[in-house]
Amino acid sequence: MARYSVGRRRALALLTLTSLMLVILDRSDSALTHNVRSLGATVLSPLRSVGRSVARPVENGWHGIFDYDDLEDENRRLRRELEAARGNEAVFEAHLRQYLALAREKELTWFGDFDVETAQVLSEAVSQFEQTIEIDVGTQEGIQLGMPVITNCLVGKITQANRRTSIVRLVTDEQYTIAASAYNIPNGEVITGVELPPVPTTRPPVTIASNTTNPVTTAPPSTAAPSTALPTTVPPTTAALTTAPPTSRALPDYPALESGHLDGRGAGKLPILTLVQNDEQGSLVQRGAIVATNGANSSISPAGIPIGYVINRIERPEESGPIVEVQPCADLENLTFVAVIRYLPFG
Amino acid sequence: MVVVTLLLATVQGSWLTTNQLFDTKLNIMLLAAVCAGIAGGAELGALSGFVYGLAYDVLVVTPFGTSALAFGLAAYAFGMLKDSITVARIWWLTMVLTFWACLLGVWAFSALLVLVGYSDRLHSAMVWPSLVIAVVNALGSPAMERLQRWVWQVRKPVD
Repeated sequence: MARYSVGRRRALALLTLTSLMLVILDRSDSALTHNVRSLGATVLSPLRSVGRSVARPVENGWHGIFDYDDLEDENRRLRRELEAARGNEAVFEAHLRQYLALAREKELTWFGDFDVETAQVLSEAVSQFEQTIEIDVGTQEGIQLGMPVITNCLVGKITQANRRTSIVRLVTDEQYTIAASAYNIPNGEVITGVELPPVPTTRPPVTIASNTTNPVTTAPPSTAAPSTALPTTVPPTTAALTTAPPTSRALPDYPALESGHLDGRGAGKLPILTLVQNDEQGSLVQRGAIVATNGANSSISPAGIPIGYVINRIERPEESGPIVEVQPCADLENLTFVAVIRYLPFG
Repeated sequence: MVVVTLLLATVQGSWLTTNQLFDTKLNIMLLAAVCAGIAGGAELGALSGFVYGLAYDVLVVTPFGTSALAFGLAAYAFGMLKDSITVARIWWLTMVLTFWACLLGVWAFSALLVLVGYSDRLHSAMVWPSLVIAVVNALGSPAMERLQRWVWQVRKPVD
């Protein structure tokens, strides 16, 4: 028979209460749990680093022997993605120019205005219940909670900053939410996934489209995103803008700018963009529209960081507005290097 | 105990994080907690679950203490169940108990995340990973039980 004594009950009650207290403290953003976690991460960080170093040769040998075919397939896939990415770059460039102009006009913070800290990805999430990565920069490099993390697109935000490492919560994590806007792409062309339509080889001048329902007015070419005004500390895609030659081809009208908030939904699910439908604009977001941060007041990110593409649209009752599923444009499964933008929402 | 906890956390945070089995991240900390409970009984299960759970909590970003609570609960429950089994020892009993204890541990953790408002619901997508974790942990339980007996200085019962 089980010996169920008073001592047992006390022990169980004590441990349960302690655990519950820790959970409550953590949920109320207590410095105590944050410090304990940070201390633990600092202690474990070198051990984990050694563990990875020891395991890597074994893993590489294993993959070399048993996964050779997979590596070839991956190589082919990466080549295809590279081709698609070259197309994406030009499209993003056009969008970023538009965002820059809009941001200047609306006095929003644009992500190119901030320095970035390049970081290497150390590992992915330990648990099945979270979508995170660990990177090799921390408070020692000036990294702070909430800073956005990007590749060419938004990856996530710093959710835990230790001394030498940080944890980044990815845009697909259930706890991730950010203010975002959707742009239908020029000419109403449809993009599926990351397969972007052919992009003109000539680069259009930045001409901000007038919007019938939005007070944003057409900006003259001279004021819209002058290429020399772009900072040199931004990531490669945006840095490339500094050398973009102007052409005579005008950027087609962008049908609408619609705002809302993007929420991650966890493993295996795409984030959704819930649009704030306060007029008729809501009906205009199409499959293939590009979604980017909008730098709204109290947003955790500056404006203009591409997040992904709309790949599905779910209608809801009239008042609620549609929900759209967004395919992130950052390859969140294969991150190696990322950049942390030194931006703080209230900093 | 401290050294073993650090070693297991290192394995969890490095090798088991980068290498998935059937798209599942295995959980050696839960295995350690459960095996300690099975080896040493309910009280030890609760204590080891708390210790290994806290170490696991350091590695993840889910609310601090939820792993400690879930692991402790699973290890306590199955430690008590093991205590109540008075029939002769069967070699596969530890594996069966570990299977169910790990299943309970994963789902208790998932349920706690919902209770504390971290997650909005229990996900059906967790069925497969929880089964993989339970099966793999069950297979590894005889070795882990032996390790936990050594760590917590628990004598093997005489048949």
